[in-house]
Amino acid sequence: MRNDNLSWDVPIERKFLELSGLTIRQIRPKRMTVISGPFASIRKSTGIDRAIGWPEAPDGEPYLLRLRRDRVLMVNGPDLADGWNAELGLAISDMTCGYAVFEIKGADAMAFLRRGAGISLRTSSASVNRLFHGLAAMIYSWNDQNHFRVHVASPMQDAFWMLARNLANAADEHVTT
Amino acid sequence: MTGSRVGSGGLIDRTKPLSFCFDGGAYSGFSGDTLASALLANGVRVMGRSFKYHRPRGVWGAWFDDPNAIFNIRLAGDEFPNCQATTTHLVDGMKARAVNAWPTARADLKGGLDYFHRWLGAGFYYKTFMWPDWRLFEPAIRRMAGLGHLDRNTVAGYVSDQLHDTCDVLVIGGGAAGLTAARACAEAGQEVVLIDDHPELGGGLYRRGLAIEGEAPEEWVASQQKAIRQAGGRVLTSTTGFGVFDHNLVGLAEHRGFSSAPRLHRMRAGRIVMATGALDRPITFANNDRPGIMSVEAATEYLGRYGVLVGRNIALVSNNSFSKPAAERLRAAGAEVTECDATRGPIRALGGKRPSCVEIGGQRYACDTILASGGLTPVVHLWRHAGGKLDWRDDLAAFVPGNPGKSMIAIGAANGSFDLEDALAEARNSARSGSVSERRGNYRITPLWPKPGSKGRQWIDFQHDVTLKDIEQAARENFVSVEHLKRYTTLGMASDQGKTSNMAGLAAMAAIQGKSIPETGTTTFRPPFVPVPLELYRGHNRGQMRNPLKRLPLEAVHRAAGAAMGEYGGWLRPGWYGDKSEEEAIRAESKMARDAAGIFDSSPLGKIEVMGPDAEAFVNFIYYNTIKTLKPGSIRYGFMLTERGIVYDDGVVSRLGPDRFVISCSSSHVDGVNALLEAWRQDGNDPDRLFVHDTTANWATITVSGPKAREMVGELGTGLDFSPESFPHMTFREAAFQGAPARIARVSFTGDASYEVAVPAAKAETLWETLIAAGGKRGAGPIGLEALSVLRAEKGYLIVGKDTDGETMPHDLGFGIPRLKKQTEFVGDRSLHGEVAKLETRRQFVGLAVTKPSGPLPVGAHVVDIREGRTVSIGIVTSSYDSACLGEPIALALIERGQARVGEYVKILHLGETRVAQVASPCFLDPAGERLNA
Repeated sequence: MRNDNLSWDVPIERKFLELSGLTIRQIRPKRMTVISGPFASIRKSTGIDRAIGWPEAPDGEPYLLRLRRDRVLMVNGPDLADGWNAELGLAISDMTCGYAVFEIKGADAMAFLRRGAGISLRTSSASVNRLFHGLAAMIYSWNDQNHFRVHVASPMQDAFWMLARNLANAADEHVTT
Repeated sequence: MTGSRVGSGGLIDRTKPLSFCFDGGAYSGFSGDTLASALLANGVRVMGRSFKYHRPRGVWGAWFDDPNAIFNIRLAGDEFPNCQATTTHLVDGMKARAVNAWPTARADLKGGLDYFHRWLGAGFYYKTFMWPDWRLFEPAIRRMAGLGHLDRNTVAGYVSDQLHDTCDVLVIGGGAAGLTAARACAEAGQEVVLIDDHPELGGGLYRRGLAIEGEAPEEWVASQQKAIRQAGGRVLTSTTGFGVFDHNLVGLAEHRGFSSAPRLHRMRAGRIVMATGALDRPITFANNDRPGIMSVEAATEYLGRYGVLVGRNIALVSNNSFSKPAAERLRAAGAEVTECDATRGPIRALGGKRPSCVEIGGQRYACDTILASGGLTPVVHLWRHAGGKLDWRDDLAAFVPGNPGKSMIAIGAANGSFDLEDALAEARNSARSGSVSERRGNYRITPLWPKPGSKGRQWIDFQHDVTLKDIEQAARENFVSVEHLKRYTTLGMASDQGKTSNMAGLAAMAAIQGKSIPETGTTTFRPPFVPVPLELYRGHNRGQMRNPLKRLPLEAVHRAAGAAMGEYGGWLRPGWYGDKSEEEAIRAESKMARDAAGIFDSSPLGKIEVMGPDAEAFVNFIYYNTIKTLKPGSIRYGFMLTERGIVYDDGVVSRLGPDRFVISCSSSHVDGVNALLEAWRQDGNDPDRLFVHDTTANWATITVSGPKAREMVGELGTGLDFSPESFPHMTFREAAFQGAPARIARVSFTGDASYEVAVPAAKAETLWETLIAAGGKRGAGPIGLEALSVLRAEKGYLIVGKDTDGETMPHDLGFGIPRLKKQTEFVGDRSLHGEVAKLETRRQFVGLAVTKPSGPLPVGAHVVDIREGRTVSIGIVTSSYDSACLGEPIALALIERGQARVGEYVKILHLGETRVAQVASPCFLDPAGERLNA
């Protein structure tokens, strides 16, 4: 086996990037919980009425991201017991450390996202799950069309960050039209 | 050809002169010129050499259809290979050199190869160089083959930007039809994107040179473009649609300047309007490859777009009605043009590197330039990429798009509507209704195809030197399918991918076989439509992003501790620690782990939760081993099999409760196992009673293994009783570590008592530091994956994928009982009872004992036997280490009937060296399990 220390960048702790028209920074939600089961049960368990897809934005915190027909990610919601909730028929897993969350903000935010994902504000999706440059990601809007959040699996956060640095420079160039 | 610049006209900027070099000569042109137009304006005729015979070549076309003028270009110290002269716009300071020619295209030393053409026909290398051995000739032939050369230096900053985009309507082609369609769609409220591969819109309007709807071409184009933008449409110039893929995904390559990598647009279009125009096709006649012979369309394009008159005394040889206006346009520019009916009889060009005359039906016409038009061929490549059919039209002597669908239509010349008025009407109609209208059609053509058996060397594929005789030879040798013809002769395999040659080639084959052209068919059209740099596909998918590894929460801690990081199963993990050599570090770490304890980061181990009332039955079905009898708080080792019964993963299952399991699969298999579980979950299970959550990323796991492990985990403050009686091997406890949940599994991959402690990743560093501190007092410390590999091999623990192969079944590994006794069905069950599974010669997992002086066996070495005088492989060494604990080398292997051979000596063959080893049990250490259960 060889020593590949120099082949891979040392992960950096503070992930913050500011360009004209684009700011990317890592944020740390207090809690993230994956919940699977019928949505009526999820609503009852969390007290949150809707799960957002694309390009919807949450009304405020806590909020639910719809991952698939029977699965959501609850962000900053109540502390639910891990495991099988037999009463409601829900599978619950804490994933607070499982996802890294990035805020993408600015006039070039959508151009940045378009470089990694087949995504358009005109095309809606019930799920926030996407591939971002090959990385599994959850992408959703936050308040307006220039402000988004992206969740990626924690072990891939450095890959995302490296990609973000590269793509941010490209996104800074306006596409000729 | 004696090309020259006319005094006015064209789209070039005559106020911006540019200098450049070609084959060592200095020339000048103007901004807006291509290299080809600038060279023609400077009177240069020979711009390349053909691939095989090194025949001199001039340009045939004026844009992407030219197969002849291909240059390596140096600019500002960077080298760019294989640039098409007809599509490369001039940049001041360019130094261009024709490929496949030395020292120059005009005086190429290899031009003499043409004298040997009788022996170099289609497939000559298949027949000529077989004796005594192809490999003797191969190096020289390979050196001669190929076009251009790659510079070893990379171009700084040459990175392709890539983005995704969507639109309602994508109009491909900015000629009259495309502009009209785009405007109509945009004004109808649709989101339109119009693309064209030229920097200027207008398509063929400039070569036509006539007013359109009462306006000069430039003015009409500008007004259409303005209207499109005002209606909200977008326009991308210098952008080529190079491929149509599934679900209306169109690949667009946006040119961004010569030294810059193109930008890739992945355009998802609701509807595609293909307005890609048509190409003038060559006429097949004797010596039709000479410099100075070009298409009629190209000549008018050079005049209209670049202000270049390609010759003074022109013979215009044509079989269709579109040549007359072209002749008039050229005459108006000052050329003498003789219009010749190409259908009057056999045609022959006379002259060397410039034509002196053309002979048709025995009559000669003096000229310095021959313009040929064999009819228009619609550009239907993108249509075929999308899976569209082609219809043959006798009146056009061409294939046109058939069966228009809702998602893609063709309009204008691309649809066989060659007359401008027809094309405009069709464009307006198609934009509104999505269907094409009937055409009136003033275009007239007398079909003129290659005539097999006719005299002279008649070129079909200019770049690859495929002649009519080659087609005839292929037919004689029964390569009559167009796909076979293509591969045998290389017809259509040049860089233009048959844009100029395919129609003539398949027409020739049709004539030889006495079939019609549509009966003969076409070859397959595949992306890319034009050559694009590989960089276009790569973009930011480079360096560390080519295959990014998963990173540990504790990576910074490991690096600070002097870890040598390496890739293990898709993760960047510590291989060993410290400044010692790799070998020394591994020995020291494995010895420390046996004497005291080793602490290692096992965070990548799978933590996939299976929950719900049906979880027990499901996990029991997924695993080869019986899981349903597992009690809460207990752990069981087991295999996951493929449906063929092959071992896919091994791992442990922990039961947290009656309806909750955690599957701890191999680190490298987490994504695969998760996908496999989801796939089986959806196969006959009630989706509301069974859920799978991959929580691997949420948890960090630190494992402590060794005689001192119990004492060390006892210092974590969990309040658990770690005595063997209370916490025996293969059990599991939930606890708390400094306020965070902790899961502690007593399970071992080393053969010593081991504890896997999992906490939320945010607590990983605290846990690590606590254990390192606890270990420091006891002579324990961190170990890497390399030492762990040694420890597990000493105990005979296998690694799936290393100690197994694509044929290994569980009973080959010594786990045969579930196969015989498990009562309920499980994945792979049936395959374990088939003929293959019962073969007596199956390779089985064993150990190999080796004497120390000879050192460890090489991994991958063959275990061999002598059968009927021949050496045959009966197995392979899968793992091999020098064990510091045992004081001797050990190895693991898969060997035919290995379990029955225990005690036998076998030969090990590797790179010609033979050694001897004794087959043994794979467990070299503590077979009674006293250390494990201590």
